[in-house]
Amino acid sequence: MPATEHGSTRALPLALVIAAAVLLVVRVVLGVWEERHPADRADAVNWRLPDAGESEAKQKSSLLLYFFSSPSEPQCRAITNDVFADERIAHTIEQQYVPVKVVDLRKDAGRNFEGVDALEQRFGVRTFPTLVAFDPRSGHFERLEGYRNATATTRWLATAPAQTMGGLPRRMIGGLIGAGDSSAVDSVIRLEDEPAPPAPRKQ
Amino acid sequence: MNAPFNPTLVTSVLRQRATSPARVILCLAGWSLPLAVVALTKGGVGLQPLAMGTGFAYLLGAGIIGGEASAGVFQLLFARPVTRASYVLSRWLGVALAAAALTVTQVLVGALIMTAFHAPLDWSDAAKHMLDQALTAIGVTSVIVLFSSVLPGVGDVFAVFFGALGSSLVMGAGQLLQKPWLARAGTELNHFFGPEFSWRTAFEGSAPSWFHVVSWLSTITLCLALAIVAMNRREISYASD
Repeated sequence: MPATEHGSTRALPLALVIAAAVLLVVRVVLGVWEERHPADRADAVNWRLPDAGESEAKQKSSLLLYFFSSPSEPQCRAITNDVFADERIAHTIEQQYVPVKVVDLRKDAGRNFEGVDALEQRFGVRTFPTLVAFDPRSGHFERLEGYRNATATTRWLATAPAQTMGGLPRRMIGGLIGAGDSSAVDSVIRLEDEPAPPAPRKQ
Repeated sequence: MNAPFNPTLVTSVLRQRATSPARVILCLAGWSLPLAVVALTKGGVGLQPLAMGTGFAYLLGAGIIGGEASAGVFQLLFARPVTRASYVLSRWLGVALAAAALTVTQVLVGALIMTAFHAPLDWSDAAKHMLDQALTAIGVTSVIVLFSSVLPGVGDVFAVFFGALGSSLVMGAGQLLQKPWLARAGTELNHFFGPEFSWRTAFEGSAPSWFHVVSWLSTITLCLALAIVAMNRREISYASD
């Protein structure tokens, strides 16, 4: 085995090995600590209630962005901290969509407010968070399930409006889709820390 | 004590990558096409398409060590007094610097295009975007180096790609099955296979996320240390056929 003038050519750089070991331990400790003490950022998106959002989208001929969230899901907290707390992204969302937040309380309270289950069924929501870009005029929508990272989510938010034009017809998923126009979304969903909205309109 | 980096090896890896026509063409395409999108939309899409840090790391890093193993370079190289650690670290540094330089210049040119079209641009955001992409390129290169030290040819890139895909599936399964521990395991694996850095996630929260910073650093040091161990364990045959 050839050797350099200072020793073996297979010598391990101790500083790197020690740094790797120490950083791995610190990584685990910080991971556990941040999991138990999450530093939540303020959500910068002005989320609407579903019925108000639908009406506004109709008036503006704009797309809807549904954010299906569950308070007990860490990934919902992560997407809010990484994406929706960012002022620039919030501004872009407001320009491109009418944002609507739908909170699922099944896991936390045992049941949902009226209309939440119907919305989830309509858009085939099976996991949280799920984002849905919905065109009320055509009934087409695009869906992003789960949360991977901020880059992937912002990329989806930027491309979803164009993709929604060629997305799935809403009647393909969920039983309510073919039942009426998009005003069927007028259901009562109470968002976190917000007063109860008016009673639902009958179709 | 031997220097951890060998300047000759660093420049040789840069020269080697620059003389590979397929790699140069792909890098040129990856560099110019997103810029063309920015120019065609007159800056309307912002800097979003200029996120090629991972892509450049894949293009420049493929076969960084495994390719040389397959080509029989080790027999000649390690007959000289070159430590295996400095070989691994120099290869990594060369590719990481090249990938980072490509992505930084790409974002810089994109920002200049936006300025020329009078598109709204915050230069501090552009600088953060540059930093994110450069650090991501450096992180991803280290993962490729690890897999390249144990897999022949360009098997490293496939391993990293399928590892990232598999970890995304684990993450998705955890979210779908409402198993937070599974989703977290998938997330951590995903961060290992694709060590992306985000200034916003790290420092613009209500409190700095040191976990994000340490995770990125830990992945790099761990991958490089393991790659050196794998190289040290590799037996090189000098026997002829």
